[in-house]
Amino acid sequence: MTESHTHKNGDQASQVRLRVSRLELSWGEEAVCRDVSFSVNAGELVCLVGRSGSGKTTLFHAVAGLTVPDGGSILLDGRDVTGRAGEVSYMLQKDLLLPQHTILENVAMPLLIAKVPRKQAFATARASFATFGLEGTEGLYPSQLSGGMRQRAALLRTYLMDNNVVLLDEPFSALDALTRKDLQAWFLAMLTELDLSAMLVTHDVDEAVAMADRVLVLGSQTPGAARPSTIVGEVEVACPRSDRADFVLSSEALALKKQVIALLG
Amino acid sequence: MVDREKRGEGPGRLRAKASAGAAGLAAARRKGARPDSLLRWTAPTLTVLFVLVAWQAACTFEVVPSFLLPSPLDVASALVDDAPLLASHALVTLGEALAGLACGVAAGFLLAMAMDRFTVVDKALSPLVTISQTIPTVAIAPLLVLWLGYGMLPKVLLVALTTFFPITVSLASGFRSVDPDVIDLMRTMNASWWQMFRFAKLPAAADSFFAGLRISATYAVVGAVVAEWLGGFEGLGVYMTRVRKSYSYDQMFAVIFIISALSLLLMGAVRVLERTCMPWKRVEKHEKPHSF
Repeated sequence: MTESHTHKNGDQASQVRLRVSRLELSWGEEAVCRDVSFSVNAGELVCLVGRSGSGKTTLFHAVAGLTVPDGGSILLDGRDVTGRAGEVSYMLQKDLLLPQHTILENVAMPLLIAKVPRKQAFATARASFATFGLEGTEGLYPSQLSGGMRQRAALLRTYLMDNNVVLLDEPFSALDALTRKDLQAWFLAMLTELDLSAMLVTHDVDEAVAMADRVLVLGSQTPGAARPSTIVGEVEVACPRSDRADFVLSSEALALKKQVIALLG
Repeated sequence: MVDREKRGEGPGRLRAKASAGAAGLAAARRKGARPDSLLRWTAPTLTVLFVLVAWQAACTFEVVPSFLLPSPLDVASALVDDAPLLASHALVTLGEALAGLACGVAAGFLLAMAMDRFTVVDKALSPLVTISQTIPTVAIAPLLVLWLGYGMLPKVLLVALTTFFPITVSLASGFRSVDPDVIDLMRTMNASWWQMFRFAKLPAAADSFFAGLRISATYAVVGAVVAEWLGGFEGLGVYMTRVRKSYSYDQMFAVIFIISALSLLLMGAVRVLERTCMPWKRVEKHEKPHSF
């Protein structure tokens, strides 16, 4: 691979932030993902769609550096970060806010863990509360917030992990339909505003088409088996983020959904 | 038990402190209004009063001969007459109980932390910890006295031995109660074991720790008394043996009363500590200040 030799500047021409090449993953003896390659460009939101059991979360863990893959590499801005945690930001369906800490303490946690002095960490975190629509919740405990607010707080915490690439594993799936819709729209606006690159894992085709710039479909090439999976197709969603609300109701969106569903098999 | 606190602005700790007084007032106001809180206090008070009256009646009307069972009034007068003596013995026992409890908590804490940090320690020591609890206190107390003499040391050690088990078990299960996804999340923040412990595990274990500490607090006083029984010069256990030998059952009951009171006092102290250490427990749940 040429990227691994070129270091920081190697991918900048194409503005590739995250490049996953020929990743091989398994659970013990069973192969889960085989030859998975994809990339996430700067400012791009890539959705990874797959059936349950297709290894989405396993792949997600590998990209987050929580597991070491059997083969392949993960490059972040040209640097090899395979099997290294702490290089990309990470957010799950569960907000994972610690119930014993206030929202401010929860949100500032990545800074506190990075040994930023308490006062400074809190000041930095506090400065972003308004942007994330969380003003007034600093001193509250997670149990006092609604699900949507908790997810926003979790997103702010993810943001303060201060990595260019954000990984999200079904971050909206635990919310009710209306809250989810609002939060998806808000999240897109935030991505644009904060200039983040993101990879979102979901099993919800509607969500993928509504949010992604590109949809990657994780599926199996063996008929009748969910694993081992690989990227079986890619669908571009060429619609500016500001027009998404109308777009999802259009026939183009419907056609894209059909395409994704066909790829899912 | 839960003080409801009105939501305010500002950092949690400061706010919790500042409004503690206001919350207390609000709770007091509500107490009078709510019939269930009235029931909470009157029902047990009436039960205790009834038992005392029945006991006094049984003694007054000689249902039970007075040399076998002293009346509550006899016990009360024994309590008053021997107050200075009882107080000095109680202080000794309380000192032993507290010192032993402190050692037990410290040992339990270190052990539970080591068991959480190193799986080997967990596997190697958990059967031993459990077995240690099956050894009867009364069997080991004379041995401790034999080995360590009649001073304070064997008492403190016995209390520590009886109290460390509930602490270790409750802490170990509290540490384990943290969602593994939280651990994964913190790993992606490059958190060290200590940071995970400090931010996630320790607070998560607070609940079960205090449940264990409440149990240990009651064991502590009883443990100290049992140890004193078997050899010593001062303390409630020593005093108890003396009055039993002289068949002064009114004084005996007075000691029992003091022992119960000490245990209750310790449990109350644990409750106070629990509420100070867990400010997140005092907030109103599921209040949704913003809808989104």
